[in-house]
Amino acid sequence: MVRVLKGLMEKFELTPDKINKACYYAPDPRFHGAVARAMKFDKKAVVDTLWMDISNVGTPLPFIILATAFEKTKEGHNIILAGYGDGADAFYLIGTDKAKELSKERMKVKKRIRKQQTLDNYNVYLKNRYLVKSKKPLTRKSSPVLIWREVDRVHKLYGIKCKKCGTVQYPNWRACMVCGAKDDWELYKLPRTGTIYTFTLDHLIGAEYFETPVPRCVIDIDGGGRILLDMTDCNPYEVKIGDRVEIVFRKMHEGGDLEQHQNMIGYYYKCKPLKESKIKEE
Amino acid sequence: MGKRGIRDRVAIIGGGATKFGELWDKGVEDLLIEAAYEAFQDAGLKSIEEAQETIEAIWLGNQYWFTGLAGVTAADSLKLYGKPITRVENFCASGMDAFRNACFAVASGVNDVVLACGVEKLMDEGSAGLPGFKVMGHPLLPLPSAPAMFCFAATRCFHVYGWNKEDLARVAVKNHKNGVKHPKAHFRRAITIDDALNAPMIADPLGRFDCCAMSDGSAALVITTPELAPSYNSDYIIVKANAVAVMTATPWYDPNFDFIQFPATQNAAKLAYKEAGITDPAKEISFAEVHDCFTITELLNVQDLGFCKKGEAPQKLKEGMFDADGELPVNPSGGLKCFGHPIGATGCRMIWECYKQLQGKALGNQVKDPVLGLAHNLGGAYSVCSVTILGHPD
Repeated sequence: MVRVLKGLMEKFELTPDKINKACYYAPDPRFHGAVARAMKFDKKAVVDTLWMDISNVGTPLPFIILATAFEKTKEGHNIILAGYGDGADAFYLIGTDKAKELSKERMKVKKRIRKQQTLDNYNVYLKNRYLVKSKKPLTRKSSPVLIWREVDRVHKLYGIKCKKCGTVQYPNWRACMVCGAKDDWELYKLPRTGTIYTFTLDHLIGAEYFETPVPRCVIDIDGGGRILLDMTDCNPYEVKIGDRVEIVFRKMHEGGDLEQHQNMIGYYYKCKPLKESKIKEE
Repeated sequence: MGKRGIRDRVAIIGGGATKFGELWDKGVEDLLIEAAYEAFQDAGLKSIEEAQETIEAIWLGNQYWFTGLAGVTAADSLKLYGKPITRVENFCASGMDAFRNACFAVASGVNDVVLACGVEKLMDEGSAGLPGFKVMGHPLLPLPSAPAMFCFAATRCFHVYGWNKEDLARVAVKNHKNGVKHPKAHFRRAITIDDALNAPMIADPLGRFDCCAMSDGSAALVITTPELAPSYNSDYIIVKANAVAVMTATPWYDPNFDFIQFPATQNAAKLAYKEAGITDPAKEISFAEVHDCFTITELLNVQDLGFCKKGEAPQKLKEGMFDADGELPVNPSGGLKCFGHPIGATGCRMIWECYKQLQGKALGNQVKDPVLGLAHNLGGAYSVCSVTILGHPD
């Protein structure tokens, strides 16, 4: 790591005091500090590896660090990015104000990390990642044609707003569910937040899942419309009517009935508790 | 509504039902033969030749493809070939919808004597909830299990009415108590409130005893016109009304759906009461077989059928109004909860029970001096409802 960083700095005639953001991989905090000392980086320039939050996630770590660096990058900042494994590689980037702008549109990395639910069982992780063999998961027929035809409702999560009675509804029916008006609507992109109207903790079909029970929630979407979604990243026993949820895009299953669909991945939406992060947006 | 309807134009002259339960030694053929031949005997048809000659058409209710597709399921089981036979599928209300179609044939004058029957062979598919949920429906949009669908209502009723699990348990306790006496019921065992409350959870808040049984079984009814009825069976019963109402299969997408009432039941009841000329069902109906697929369903049914006010069902149940010897007995047979629920057979089984009750020949609890009996069959996510009202000839 030190060799590649030194090589990079020599190549671009950089001195340690010129570095504003040093984003480099480290398997643990001790290694991270040792590199900073060897390179004589300014303490403020060294970007935290988030060890206390996410431990060592391996390959994607330098990019996660870089994303946090972008949140504070200014015009003209010198950024170095380096990864390390069987060998090492390093990049030199010059910041523009666009980096900060870009990160403004997205959720802060730390906030995103702290919104995740920690699994209390490593077996669940192994099974969800297909790392151990287990009972065949719930696989329903996947059809590329169906998803192509229904892309608005399945992947874009569009509902409709009836032009006649004004009812917002999901999915995009041809005729309004309330007044029956046919083809008299505009596509309506549903917001990604809502409130639980009613729910159950399903153990039965849940037996096909890796974790039971599965909360199945009927949600009043903010601004109108109802939807039924399974809940993820949650403690099922804490779910109650009136809870705020956010709607998130998730992998539902792999494969399909037909041989040619074996590699298909089915994506749809789930909901998860809307956690108001304690970390303030800057 | 058409001017004529079916009121007083159809008579039940024969009824039969198999025992409901885990019938490992019986297939679809056995079940249909047993139910239909009991009905034939009851209708005075003594031999296959007589049945062959008399039964002009058949409507068969069954939901699952593995029980049978098309009219051949009945034709091949009963060896009644060359006749019009239609398979009717309308979720859990398939059986009663088969009966409705059979009634139309008789009421219209197209046929004189027809058979309405229902059959389902569930147990071969395992007993961990209704089969088929893996292959039915949309590949990506969620499809809750059957208990989960009704939990949406239970959770909401707990929230709005303040009902609790004990209110649900009382339905199970009552229906098990009733089922004990019925020789054809799936379960013949009484339970306590504690049994129900301590049972494993199926889908919160419904535990094992809140859910009806998965059963095999069949039921059959021979029907004709009131004019012809006495020549077959002097103890015949008259159809006073029958109605079906269909709502959405996915009420969770309807922004106005409140989950504390089932509009399908309300609509079907409204039509049926109108046809039968009933204005105060709580007083005029003598007893009812209602679709208690889950305990919460029975509580909502009795409200939606107008037997009591909204929100009052648990209190009325607690006071004994719906007991077998109560003011308005509900599920004196034990209901789906205890009698069992072979999907396509249930609607016909309920009508068969009402028929026996009105004849005063009930095999289990006999309701005292009944005048009008009501059968209520609900299917899907409270999507399809059929209500039938039976009475004595004038």
